Amino acid sequence: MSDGYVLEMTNINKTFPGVKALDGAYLRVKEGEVVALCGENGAGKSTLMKILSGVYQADKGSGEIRYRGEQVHFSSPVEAKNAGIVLIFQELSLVQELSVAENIYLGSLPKKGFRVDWKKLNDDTKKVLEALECPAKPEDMVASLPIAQQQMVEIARGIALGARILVLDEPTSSLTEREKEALFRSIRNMKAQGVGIIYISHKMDEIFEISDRVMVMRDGRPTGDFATKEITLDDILFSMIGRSMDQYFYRYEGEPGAEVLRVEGLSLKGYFKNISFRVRAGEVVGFYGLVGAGRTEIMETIFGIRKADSGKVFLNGTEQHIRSSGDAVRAGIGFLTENRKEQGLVLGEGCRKNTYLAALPELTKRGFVQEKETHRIYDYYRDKLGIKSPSSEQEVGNLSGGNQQKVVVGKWMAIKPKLLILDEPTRGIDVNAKAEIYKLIASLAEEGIAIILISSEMPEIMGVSNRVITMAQGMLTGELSADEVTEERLMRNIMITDSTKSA
Amino acid sequence: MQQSGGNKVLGTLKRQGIVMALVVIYILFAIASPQFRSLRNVILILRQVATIGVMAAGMTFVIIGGNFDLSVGSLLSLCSVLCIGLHDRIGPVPAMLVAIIAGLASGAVSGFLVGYLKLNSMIVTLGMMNVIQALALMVTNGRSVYLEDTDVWFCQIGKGNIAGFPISAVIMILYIILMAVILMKRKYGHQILSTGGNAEACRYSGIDDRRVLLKSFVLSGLSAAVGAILLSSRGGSAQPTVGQSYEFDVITAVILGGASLAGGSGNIYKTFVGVLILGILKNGFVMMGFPYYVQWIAQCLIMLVAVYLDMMSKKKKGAA
Repeated sequence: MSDGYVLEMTNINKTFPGVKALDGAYLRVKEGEVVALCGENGAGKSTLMKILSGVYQADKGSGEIRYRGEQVHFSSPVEAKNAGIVLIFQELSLVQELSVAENIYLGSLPKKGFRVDWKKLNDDTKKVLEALECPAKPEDMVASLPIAQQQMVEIARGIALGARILVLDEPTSSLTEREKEALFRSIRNMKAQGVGIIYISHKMDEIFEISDRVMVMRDGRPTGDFATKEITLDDILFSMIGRSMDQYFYRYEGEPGAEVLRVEGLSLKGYFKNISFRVRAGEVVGFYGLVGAGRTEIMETIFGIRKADSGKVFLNGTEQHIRSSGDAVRAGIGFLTENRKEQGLVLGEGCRKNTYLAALPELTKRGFVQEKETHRIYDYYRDKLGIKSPSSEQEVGNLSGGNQQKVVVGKWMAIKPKLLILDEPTRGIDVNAKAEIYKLIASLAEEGIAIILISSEMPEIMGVSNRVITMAQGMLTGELSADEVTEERLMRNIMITDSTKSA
Repeated sequence: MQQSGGNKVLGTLKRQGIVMALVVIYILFAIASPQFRSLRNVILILRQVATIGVMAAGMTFVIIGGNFDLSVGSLLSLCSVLCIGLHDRIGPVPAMLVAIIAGLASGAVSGFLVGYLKLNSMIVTLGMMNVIQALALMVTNGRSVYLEDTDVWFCQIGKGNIAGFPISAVIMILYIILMAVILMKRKYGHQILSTGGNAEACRYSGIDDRRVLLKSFVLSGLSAAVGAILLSSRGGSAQPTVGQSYEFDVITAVILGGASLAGGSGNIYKTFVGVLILGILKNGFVMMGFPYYVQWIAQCLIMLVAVYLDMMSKKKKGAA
């Protein structure tokens, strides 16, 4: 084995009709090394993995794959798997109705004569599970296990097959914090056994925690190859998007204007208690907290979807009695929700119709929709926001996540809002589209709109907000200006203890 | 370029498939039966479909909203007996008004239960179907009602002609145009299409989805009442069960017209094409001397084909 590399992919090209998906891509993994593979959607990560596992073939004459010192060529995923290259995708491939042991040794059950040797099967399984510190028992039915343990069973199956290379594609997307830690322990155990691991993730904190090396791709080309210890988040982002963090986040720094929103003592039993805050024109106020802290519920209450038990909401100094989302829209409040597909868009309808959905009353004269006006509105926001769509009637369901989100932003800009609430506005969109959304938020603030930004991504909330309000368990726990905000302070504020809660 | 041209033609054919089907079915019957292709028969078909045509226009809104209204048949019965039963006592105009109010009220009740209480529309309107049928039997004591004299202007609505054209067909066409304008040009039309597509997204965009759905049932109720006026004025009499199984014809016509069963899309004019197909089948089978129940089998087959096509087009979309 050359230089301890268990896997070396060099100079891989892959051309699809009309697109060069990979251009000189490479990837090297040593025994016992965790290599994080980063890049935005479409950068070529999955194409590279599909070539590794034999789903696709690289272009002829373009490069080679050396595995355990030999040049190899897999023509199907089964061949790759038999050779010890195991891919674990977000969707698991276990048989839910079989036991853990049966799943792990499916296809190669130990036999005693014609019958399955259950004792050996369960003993072998136990050894594998123990090595991974997986709490599941060999006899457990897979369907009865939490997702995290199912994932470990799948990893165990790879180990039992003798995997030397394990590819994990966004493995933590459905795991809790505790389950994630258990997974990381398993990964470290496998490292110790000399397994090479390719870890694909968008989550930067995980990459820094678990990986030894980071490999970044953009547009099918390798753009960064770092030892994790020697780099910062900025280095990775720069390689991913071709520009640095300073140009990535945008913040409008102008002096904020008059108060737009004032919330006083807002409470809703079971969700939040005694919430008071203000937002001024041209100001971006971030709301940071753990999932379930009550941020979304407060916004839904202000927007008239939920009804508060007590408390007052003022807009431009006048008390509002908002009983429905219609009242909220009439009052000039826009609400970009966190679930774009369920709550933001009518996926089966065109871009134009989605863009004027909220502004419909203003585009109506004596009950008739002003068709020409709707075209004007759509064209205006398409140009202003850079919505890329083949036509105004293209179903939004067919657009990319970033373009869909721009249509939602357009929908709210079309009502000319005084207050715009953005709940996780960059969820599920790629890095470049994120940067565009940040720029947009800053320009909306500059136009004098008061903006509330809910985000679970710390760099985002720190990079975009003028002020950050922190929440824990339904209560406000602090407020930090852009100068004061640090990661430590944010973390401290959202981890409220029971003693502070009762105080 | 040639290929895209071909695709365009194919796409148009697919979009206008229901119109093609209408033409094909008409030609088949016209070849098979000389009586069928007479102008008199065409006019007869229009008169025959007037009630279903009006009711299907209203039902289109309900189905676009992602619901069904099974109560329209018995509502047709109730409104018919109200029209006829009250005509001689309180006069034609008040009698028609009572029928229309009954239709609106019934639609409002179903609409409230479906829109505001989020009850399943099948169950709600199945129940309403029985309740309204019971009411129709109660107000008539189960007997048919007749006009003393059928030589009144009220009966001209159903029987009369303008320049050789049936008045009821004219009313139907005007009503369909009115409904099409509501669906395509008015704010409400935009709202029901979007609500049928994604009610939650509408709720989060300031649209009161509950109210939008309620209104769709009110429109369906109104249409049943207007249909009842056309139907009862034709014979000057009404049985308390006259509307039985009309809901099936009406829903079939809307689905033939391509409205999506999942909600979110539909077109009043295409619904009318669906109505015409049903009308031609009914009339054609009778003209050719088949027993009337043969058309039920044909109708069922056509309905299944329409639903299958709806499903396939959705699958394709999902795959794209």
